Amino acid sequence: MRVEVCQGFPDTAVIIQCREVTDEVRKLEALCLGSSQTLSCTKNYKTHLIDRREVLYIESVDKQCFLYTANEMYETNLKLYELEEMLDTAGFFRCAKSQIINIAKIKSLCPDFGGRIEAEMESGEKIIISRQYAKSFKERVGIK
Amino acid sequence: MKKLITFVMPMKLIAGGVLFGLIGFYMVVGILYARLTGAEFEYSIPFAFIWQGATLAIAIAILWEVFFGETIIKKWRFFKRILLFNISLIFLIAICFLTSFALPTDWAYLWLIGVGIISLGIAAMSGLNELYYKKTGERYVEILNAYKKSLLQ
Repeated sequence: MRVEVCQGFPDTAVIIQCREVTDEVRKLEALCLGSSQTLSCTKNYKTHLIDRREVLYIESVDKQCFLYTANEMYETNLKLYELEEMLDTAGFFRCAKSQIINIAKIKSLCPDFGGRIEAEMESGEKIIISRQYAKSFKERVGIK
Repeated sequence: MKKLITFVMPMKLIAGGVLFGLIGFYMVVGILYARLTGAEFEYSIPFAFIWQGATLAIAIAILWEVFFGETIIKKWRFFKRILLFNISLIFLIAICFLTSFALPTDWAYLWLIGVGIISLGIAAMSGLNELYYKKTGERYVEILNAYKKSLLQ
Protein backbone atom coordinates (compact mmCIF):
# COMPACT_ATOMS: atom_id res chain seq x y z
CA MET A 1 0.00 0.00 0.00
CA ARG A 2 1.29 3.47 -0.81
CA VAL A 3 0.04 7.05 -0.65
CA GLU A 4 1.04 9.39 -3.44
CA VAL A 5 0.78 13.15 -3.10
CA CYS A 6 0.11 14.86 -6.42
CA GLN A 7 -0.25 18.63 -6.36
CA GLY A 8 -2.11 18.78 -9.67
CA PHE A 9 -4.96 16.46 -8.56
CA PRO A 10 -8.28 18.30 -8.13
CA ASP A 11 -9.63 15.80 -5.59
CA THR A 12 -8.56 12.86 -3.44
CA ALA A 13 -8.96 9.55 -5.27
CA VAL A 14 -8.44 5.93 -4.26
CA ILE A 15 -7.42 3.58 -7.05
CA ILE A 16 -7.31 -0.16 -6.41
CA GLN A 17 -5.12 -1.97 -8.89
CA CYS A 18 -5.76 -5.69 -9.10
CA ARG A 19 -5.56 -8.62 -11.49
CA GLU A 20 -9.14 -9.65 -10.80
CA VAL A 21 -12.04 -8.57 -8.60
CA THR A 22 -11.94 -10.94 -5.63
CA ASP A 23 -13.92 -10.82 -2.38
CA GLU A 24 -10.96 -9.18 -0.69
CA VAL A 25 -10.94 -6.41 -3.27
CA ARG A 26 -14.66 -5.92 -2.76
CA LYS A 27 -14.17 -5.69 1.01
CA LEU A 28 -11.43 -3.13 0.46
CA GLU A 29 -13.69 -1.16 -1.83
CA ALA A 30 -16.51 -1.30 0.72
CA LEU A 31 -14.09 -0.08 3.39
CA CYS A 32 -13.08 2.87 1.22
CA LEU A 33 -16.67 3.72 0.44
CA GLY A 34 -17.72 3.45 4.08
CA SER A 35 -21.37 4.07 4.81
CA SER A 36 -22.16 5.33 1.31
CA GLN A 37 -22.75 1.70 0.29
CA THR A 38 -26.16 1.91 1.89
CA LEU A 39 -29.19 4.01 1.15
CA SER A 40 -31.57 5.19 3.80
CA CYS A 41 -35.21 4.65 2.88
CA THR A 42 -38.54 3.89 4.47
CA LYS A 43 -41.18 1.20 4.25
CA ASN A 44 -44.31 0.95 6.37
CA TYR A 45 -43.12 3.92 8.49
CA LYS A 46 -39.87 2.11 9.34
CA THR A 47 -36.44 3.26 8.24
CA HIS A 48 -34.32 0.73 6.40
CA LEU A 49 -30.70 0.84 5.29
CA ILE A 50 -30.49 -1.04 2.05
CA ASP A 51 -27.41 -2.02 0.12
CA ARG A 52 -27.39 0.06 -3.04
CA ARG A 53 -26.15 -2.98 -4.98
CA GLU A 54 -29.52 -4.60 -4.29
CA VAL A 55 -31.41 -1.79 -5.99
CA LEU A 56 -32.68 -2.63 -9.47
CA TYR A 57 -34.01 0.78 -10.36
CA ILE A 58 -35.37 3.98 -8.86
CA GLU A 59 -38.55 5.61 -10.06
CA SER A 60 -40.05 8.99 -9.33
CA VAL A 61 -43.85 9.08 -9.18
CA ASP A 62 -45.58 12.36 -8.31
CA LYS A 63 -42.36 13.86 -6.90
CA GLN A 64 -41.81 10.86 -4.60
CA CYS A 65 -38.93 8.48 -5.26
CA PHE A 66 -39.28 4.72 -4.94
CA LEU A 67 -36.44 2.20 -4.85
CA TYR A 68 -37.10 -1.25 -6.25
CA THR A 69 -35.15 -4.33 -5.23
CA ALA A 70 -35.87 -7.88 -6.42
CA ASN A 71 -38.66 -8.36 -3.87
CA GLU A 72 -39.29 -5.06 -2.13
CA MET A 73 -40.16 -1.46 -2.80
CA TYR A 74 -38.96 1.38 -0.58
CA GLU A 75 -39.60 5.12 -0.42
CA THR A 76 -36.96 7.78 -0.07
CA ASN A 77 -37.14 11.48 0.66
CA LEU A 78 -34.27 12.20 -1.70
CA LYS A 79 -35.06 13.77 -5.06
CA LEU A 80 -34.31 11.88 -8.26
CA TYR A 81 -31.56 14.30 -9.31
CA GLU A 82 -29.93 13.94 -5.87
CA LEU A 83 -29.96 10.17 -6.21
CA GLU A 84 -28.62 10.50 -9.75
CA GLU A 85 -25.67 12.60 -8.54
CA MET A 86 -25.07 10.28 -5.59
CA LEU A 87 -25.21 7.05 -7.56
CA ASP A 88 -23.74 8.03 -10.91
CA THR A 89 -20.29 6.67 -10.05
CA ALA A 90 -21.83 3.56 -8.49
CA GLY A 91 -23.02 2.08 -11.80
CA PHE A 92 -26.42 3.74 -11.89
CA PHE A 93 -27.71 5.55 -14.95
CA ARG A 94 -30.56 7.98 -15.61
CA CYS A 95 -32.54 6.06 -18.24
CA ALA A 96 -35.69 8.21 -18.47
CA LYS A 97 -37.11 11.43 -17.10
CA SER A 98 -38.42 9.60 -14.06
CA GLN A 99 -36.13 6.58 -13.73
CA ILE A 100 -32.59 5.62 -12.73
CA ILE A 101 -31.40 2.13 -13.53
CA ASN A 102 -28.69 -0.05 -11.96
CA ILE A 103 -26.58 -1.17 -14.92
CA ALA A 104 -25.18 -4.14 -12.97
CA LYS A 105 -28.70 -5.53 -12.61
CA ILE A 106 -29.57 -5.48 -16.31
CA LYS A 107 -29.94 -9.00 -17.66
CA SER A 108 -30.43 -8.23 -21.34
CA LEU A 109 -30.81 -5.35 -23.76
CA CYS A 110 -32.83 -5.08 -26.94
CA PRO A 111 -33.17 -1.99 -29.13
CA ASP A 112 -36.67 -0.90 -30.05
CA PHE A 113 -38.30 1.33 -32.64
CA GLY A 114 -37.62 5.06 -32.31
CA GLY A 115 -34.13 4.73 -30.82
CA ARG A 116 -35.31 3.37 -27.48
CA ILE A 117 -33.65 0.44 -25.72
CA GLU A 118 -35.55 -2.15 -23.71
CA ALA A 119 -33.64 -3.36 -20.67
CA GLU A 120 -34.71 -6.56 -18.94
CA MET A 121 -33.74 -6.56 -15.28
CA GLU A 122 -32.61 -9.61 -13.30
CA SER A 123 -36.08 -9.70 -11.75
CA GLY A 124 -37.64 -10.02 -15.22
CA GLU A 125 -39.04 -6.48 -15.17
CA LYS A 126 -38.63 -4.46 -18.32
CA ILE A 127 -37.38 -0.88 -18.22
CA ILE A 128 -37.32 1.42 -21.23
CA ILE A 129 -34.21 3.51 -21.80
CA SER A 130 -35.76 6.46 -23.60
CA ARG A 131 -34.41 7.86 -26.87
CA GLN A 132 -33.19 10.96 -25.03
CA TYR A 133 -30.88 8.89 -22.81
CA ALA A 134 -30.13 5.95 -25.13
CA LYS A 135 -27.15 7.64 -26.78
CA SER A 136 -25.37 8.43 -23.51
CA PHE A 137 -26.19 4.93 -22.24
CA LYS A 138 -24.50 3.42 -25.29
CA GLU A 139 -21.48 5.67 -24.78
CA ARG A 140 -21.27 4.72 -21.11
CA VAL A 141 -21.45 0.96 -21.74
CA GLY A 142 -19.27 1.15 -24.87
CA ILE A 143 -21.82 0.18 -27.49
CA LYS A 144 -20.95 1.54 -30.93
CA MET B 1 -56.38 17.14 -16.49
CA LYS B 2 -52.75 17.24 -17.68
CA LYS B 3 -52.96 13.54 -18.56
CA LEU B 4 -56.21 14.11 -20.44
CA ILE B 5 -54.66 16.94 -22.46
CA THR B 6 -51.53 14.91 -23.29
CA PHE B 7 -53.86 12.13 -24.48
CA VAL B 8 -56.32 14.28 -26.44
CA MET B 9 -54.01 16.82 -28.16
CA PRO B 10 -52.02 14.39 -30.35
CA MET B 11 -55.29 12.58 -31.10
CA LYS B 12 -56.67 15.72 -32.76
CA LEU B 13 -53.76 15.79 -35.22
CA ILE B 14 -54.02 12.08 -35.97
CA ALA B 15 -57.81 12.22 -36.45
CA GLY B 16 -57.40 15.15 -38.88
CA GLY B 17 -54.71 13.27 -40.81
CA VAL B 18 -56.80 10.10 -40.97
CA LEU B 19 -59.91 11.98 -42.20
CA PHE B 20 -57.83 13.72 -44.86
CA GLY B 21 -56.39 10.33 -45.84
CA LEU B 22 -59.83 8.70 -45.95
CA ILE B 23 -61.20 11.42 -48.26
CA GLY B 24 -58.11 11.26 -50.48
CA PHE B 25 -58.24 7.47 -50.57
CA TYR B 26 -61.97 7.57 -51.40
CA MET B 27 -61.37 9.91 -54.34
CA VAL B 28 -58.27 8.14 -55.73
CA VAL B 29 -59.70 4.63 -55.43
CA GLY B 30 -63.05 5.80 -56.79
CA ILE B 31 -61.48 7.45 -59.85
CA LEU B 32 -59.18 4.48 -60.53
CA TYR B 33 -62.04 2.01 -60.11
CA ALA B 34 -64.26 4.06 -62.43
CA ARG B 35 -61.49 4.30 -65.05
CA LEU B 36 -60.73 0.58 -64.90
CA THR B 37 -64.33 -0.66 -64.96
CA GLY B 38 -65.84 2.10 -67.07
CA ALA B 39 -68.33 2.90 -64.33
CA GLU B 40 -69.46 6.47 -63.75
CA PHE B 41 -67.82 8.28 -60.83
CA GLU B 42 -69.41 11.28 -59.20
CA TYR B 43 -66.80 13.86 -58.27
CA SER B 44 -68.42 14.85 -54.99
CA ILE B 45 -68.37 13.52 -51.45
CA PRO B 46 -71.66 12.87 -49.67
CA PHE B 47 -72.04 14.74 -46.36
CA ALA B 48 -72.77 11.45 -44.57
CA PHE B 49 -69.31 10.23 -45.61
CA ILE B 50 -67.71 13.31 -44.02
CA TRP B 51 -69.29 12.93 -40.56
CA GLN B 52 -69.08 9.17 -40.57
CA GLY B 53 -65.48 9.42 -41.80
CA ALA B 54 -64.73 11.91 -39.01
CA THR B 55 -66.18 9.48 -36.44
CA LEU B 56 -64.09 6.65 -37.89
CA ALA B 57 -61.00 8.93 -37.88
CA ILE B 58 -61.56 9.72 -34.17
CA ALA B 59 -61.91 5.98 -33.42
CA ILE B 60 -58.65 5.26 -35.30
CA ALA B 61 -56.93 8.16 -33.49
CA ILE B 62 -58.06 6.72 -30.12
CA LEU B 63 -56.66 3.31 -31.09
CA TRP B 64 -53.39 4.98 -32.19
CA GLU B 65 -53.09 6.93 -28.96
CA VAL B 66 -53.85 3.84 -26.88
CA PHE B 67 -51.21 1.71 -28.59
CA PHE B 68 -48.54 4.29 -29.45
CA GLY B 69 -49.18 7.28 -27.19
CA GLU B 70 -47.33 5.91 -24.12
CA THR B 71 -49.90 7.54 -21.81
CA ILE B 72 -51.78 4.27 -21.31
CA ILE B 73 -49.36 1.56 -22.47
CA LYS B 74 -45.80 2.36 -21.47
CA LYS B 75 -43.58 -0.68 -21.65
CA TRP B 76 -44.66 -2.61 -24.74
CA ARG B 77 -42.34 -3.29 -27.63
CA PHE B 78 -43.15 -1.64 -30.94
CA PHE B 79 -43.77 -5.02 -32.63
CA LYS B 80 -46.48 -5.93 -30.10
CA ARG B 81 -48.03 -2.46 -30.39
CA ILE B 82 -48.20 -2.51 -34.19
CA LEU B 83 -49.60 -6.06 -34.35
CA LEU B 84 -52.38 -5.34 -31.85
CA PHE B 85 -53.09 -1.99 -33.49
CA ASN B 86 -53.45 -3.73 -36.87
CA ILE B 87 -55.79 -6.38 -35.48
CA SER B 88 -57.92 -3.72 -33.73
CA LEU B 89 -57.98 -1.66 -36.92
CA ILE B 90 -59.20 -4.60 -39.00
CA PHE B 91 -61.93 -5.27 -36.41
CA LEU B 92 -62.96 -1.62 -36.48
CA ILE B 93 -63.12 -1.56 -40.27
CA ALA B 94 -65.03 -4.87 -40.34
CA ILE B 95 -67.59 -3.35 -37.95
CA CYS B 96 -67.87 -0.32 -40.25
CA PHE B 97 -68.59 -2.61 -43.21
CA LEU B 98 -71.12 -4.69 -41.29
CA THR B 99 -73.01 -1.57 -40.23
CA SER B 100 -72.39 0.31 -43.52
CA PHE B 101 -70.80 3.07 -41.47
CA ALA B 102 -68.33 5.46 -43.17
CA LEU B 103 -67.20 2.87 -45.70
CA PRO B 104 -69.40 2.10 -48.74
CA THR B 105 -70.44 -1.55 -48.64
CA ASP B 106 -70.58 -1.97 -52.41
CA TRP B 107 -66.79 -1.57 -52.54
CA ALA B 108 -66.18 -3.52 -49.37
CA TYR B 109 -63.81 -6.01 -50.98
CA LEU B 110 -61.64 -3.17 -52.32
CA TRP B 111 -61.33 -1.63 -48.85
CA LEU B 112 -60.64 -5.01 -47.29
CA ILE B 113 -57.96 -5.83 -49.87
CA GLY B 114 -56.38 -2.40 -49.34
CA VAL B 115 -56.39 -2.61 -45.55
CA GLY B 116 -55.29 -6.28 -45.68
CA ILE B 117 -52.30 -5.51 -47.92
CA ILE B 118 -51.22 -2.53 -45.82
CA SER B 119 -51.64 -4.51 -42.56
CA LEU B 120 -49.70 -7.51 -43.88
CA GLY B 121 -46.95 -5.21 -45.19
CA ILE B 122 -46.65 -3.41 -41.86
CA ALA B 123 -46.68 -6.71 -39.93
CA ALA B 124 -44.00 -8.22 -42.22
CA MET B 125 -41.78 -5.13 -42.02
CA SER B 126 -42.05 -4.88 -38.25
CA GLY B 127 -41.41 -8.64 -37.98
CA LEU B 128 -38.17 -8.27 -39.96
CA ASN B 129 -37.29 -5.23 -37.88
CA GLU B 130 -37.86 -7.25 -34.71
CA LEU B 131 -35.47 -9.97 -35.93
CA TYR B 132 -32.83 -7.32 -36.63
CA TYR B 133 -33.36 -5.83 -33.16
CA LYS B 134 -33.00 -9.26 -31.54
CA LYS B 135 -29.64 -9.76 -33.30
CA THR B 136 -28.48 -6.26 -32.34
CA GLY B 137 -29.66 -6.95 -28.77
CA GLU B 138 -27.43 -10.03 -28.56
CA ARG B 139 -24.44 -7.85 -29.50
CA TYR B 140 -25.47 -5.26 -26.90
CA VAL B 141 -25.67 -7.96 -24.20
CA GLU B 142 -22.12 -9.14 -24.96
CA ILE B 143 -20.82 -5.57 -24.58
CA LEU B 144 -22.95 -5.04 -21.46
CA ASN B 145 -21.56 -8.18 -19.81
CA ALA B 146 -18.01 -7.00 -20.50
CA TYR B 147 -18.90 -3.61 -18.98
CA LYS B 148 -20.51 -5.24 -15.93
CA LYS B 149 -17.32 -7.22 -15.27
CA SER B 150 -15.39 -3.97 -15.21
CA LEU B 151 -17.86 -2.42 -12.74
CA LEU B 152 -16.77 -2.32 -9.14
CA GLN B 153 -19.91 -2.04 -7.10
